[in-house]
Amino acid sequence: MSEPELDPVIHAPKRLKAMAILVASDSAEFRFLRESIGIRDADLSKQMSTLEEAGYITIRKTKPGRGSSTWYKVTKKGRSAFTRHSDALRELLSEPNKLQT
Amino acid sequence: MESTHELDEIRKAQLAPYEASATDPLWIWPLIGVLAFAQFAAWEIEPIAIPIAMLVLYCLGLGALVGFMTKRRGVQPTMRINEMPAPLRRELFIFWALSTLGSGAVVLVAMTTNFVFAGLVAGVGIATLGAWYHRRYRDRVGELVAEL
Repeated sequence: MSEPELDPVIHAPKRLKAMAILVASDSAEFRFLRESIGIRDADLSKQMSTLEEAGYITIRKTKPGRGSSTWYKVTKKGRSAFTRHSDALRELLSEPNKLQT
Repeated sequence: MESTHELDEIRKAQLAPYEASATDPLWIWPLIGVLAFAQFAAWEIEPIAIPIAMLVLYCLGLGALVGFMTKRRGVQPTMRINEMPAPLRRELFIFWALSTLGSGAVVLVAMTTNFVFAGLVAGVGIATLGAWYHRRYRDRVGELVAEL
């Protein structure tokens, strides 16, 4: 039986929270993610770019200027990666000795 | 231990979109009720273009309301059954069952009386049952958050 594998892109706590929110949403806006995760604008942008580069999310910006907003949506690839990652976490928890390796 | 904490954080984060939608204002239900009344009552008016136009306006109105609420809270919880926490999934099934029974009852009223009365039944039903359901949903989300 293969070892449960944690996804290094998702494993970072801020990105893990962002992915957990996005998997439970059709789409989420920048402001909502920032307040839910509790991080600064620049940090969130950086984390979301990493997820986008991995192909886990898509980014949609509304019209520029006042009232503009940025919306994020998880991709099919991102959804599968998140499911695999959380399953691996649960598996590791059910077999605590694997956490020490 | 760290991973247990991570799993709790995942659960907490996954509830955030539902927590946000639970805070939607209750006035949306009387508003939907008024729209539904207007849409139903219009079927008593000739020519047929008027009720059809009202039906289109009703759909556009609902779409605009959903869009406004999504923009207001900054998130739209997923309607994917498998991604929902089990207690909220049950709430969604209750909502669907109520909607189906309510729609059937309104159609029955419309066939036995008239569309204005059926519209009144639909409007009052949506305003009261919608608000009741919304409070129930709010309580369930609150209980799930408290469990963490």
